[in-house]
Amino acid sequence: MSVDVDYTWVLQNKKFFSNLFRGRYVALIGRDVVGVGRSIQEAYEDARKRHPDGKKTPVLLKVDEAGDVQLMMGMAGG
Amino acid sequence: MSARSIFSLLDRVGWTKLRHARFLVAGLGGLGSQAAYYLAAAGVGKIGLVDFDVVHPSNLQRQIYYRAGDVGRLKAEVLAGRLAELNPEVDVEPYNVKLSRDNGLEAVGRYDLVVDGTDNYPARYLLSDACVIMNRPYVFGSIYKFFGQVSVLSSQGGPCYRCLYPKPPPPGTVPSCADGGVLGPLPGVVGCIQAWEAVKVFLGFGRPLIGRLLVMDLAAMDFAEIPISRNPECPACGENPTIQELQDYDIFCGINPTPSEKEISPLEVKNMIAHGEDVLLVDVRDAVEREICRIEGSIHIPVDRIWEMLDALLEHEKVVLYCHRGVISRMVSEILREMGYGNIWSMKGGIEGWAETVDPSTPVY
Repeated sequence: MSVDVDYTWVLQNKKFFSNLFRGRYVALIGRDVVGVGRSIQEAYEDARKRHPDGKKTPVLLKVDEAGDVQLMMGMAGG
Repeated sequence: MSARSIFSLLDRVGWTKLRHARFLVAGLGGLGSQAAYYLAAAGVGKIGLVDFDVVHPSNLQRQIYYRAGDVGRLKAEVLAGRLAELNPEVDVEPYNVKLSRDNGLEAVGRYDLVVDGTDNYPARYLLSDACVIMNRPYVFGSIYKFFGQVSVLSSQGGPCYRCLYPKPPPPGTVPSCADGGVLGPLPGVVGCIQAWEAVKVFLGFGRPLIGRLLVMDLAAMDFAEIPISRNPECPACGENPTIQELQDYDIFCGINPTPSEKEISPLEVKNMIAHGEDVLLVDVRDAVEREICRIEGSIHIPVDRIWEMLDALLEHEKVVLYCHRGVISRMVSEILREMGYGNIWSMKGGIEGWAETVDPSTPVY
């Protein structure tokens, strides 16, 4: 199912993600953090445990060791 | 070109089928040029190449089939020449056009599948809708910084791009490849996977990425698959589709092609500074770009961090954003104005415009 992401909200709350999730991947549905992990798969599996119905596809963020927050999905670069 | 090496992988039927295949590669940047080169090498019979852009110097580090001597030449024509050199048996058709609601269906309909190497949302939604309408597989790939995604969409009952991403992000919230920066090996990897998936789905072997989104982080060399499924309510491919023809995708994606009232020329910016007006000049480009050139007196807030610094922008009578060519800064300024920041302006033409009209000594890139 579809990805539900509030891009502007993610950008406005980078500090929140940076402070809490350094060195981790974060799975989001809308404005809810639904999964966290040290690998992409771990974050995704965590999200599936909490939202087993799979009605939404989580979007993934990466918070690197320096605290930089990057959206991993939804970009259009080619 | 000899296909002997491929014979060991495919049977004669598969090889013959591939020689009669017609693939359209849309967008000839890092992804599309890479995919097209491998498809030509594999012996795909006909390859359509669509791009209306020319080769820029900044492309060369990641779009490796173009050379310094190609700068300023049309990508479709340059790449067509390279593919012909590689494999003269491939019929290559370059199209120096922008795909639109007027030509999209015809272009897609002439080919068996589409490999998407475009770098913007309007083109992606257009290609996806065209593939759904014309019943063609759509081999999706995208990149940003260290990250890549690949999937085979609109194929064998699987989801389409709209099922996955029903709405484009607001303009300016997701930087482009050129703004975000990307190193050549990433589009190399993703473009190769797209070429591979295109061959697989066309020949019907292996397990194509249908209903699966491959997500990768090359910084960590971490690959994962996320299951994706068709949305029964999708307006393009759902149970009651409402999209029967192509639309104006710039409007759908919130891109306003008309000049903004809140754009200001580089000359006006120079005069405001010279007259001592309370102007904060903000460079929203990436740090690497700022190292190449900058406007003296400007501060640096990369576009993806500006949302954290909004309060600081209110302290000045006027805030003028500038980027490379004035596109990103205009999008961001329009969003901020909608959010109530009426003092935000965008410098028309970006730092290129500044170099052209105010300070010719500014390096351009």
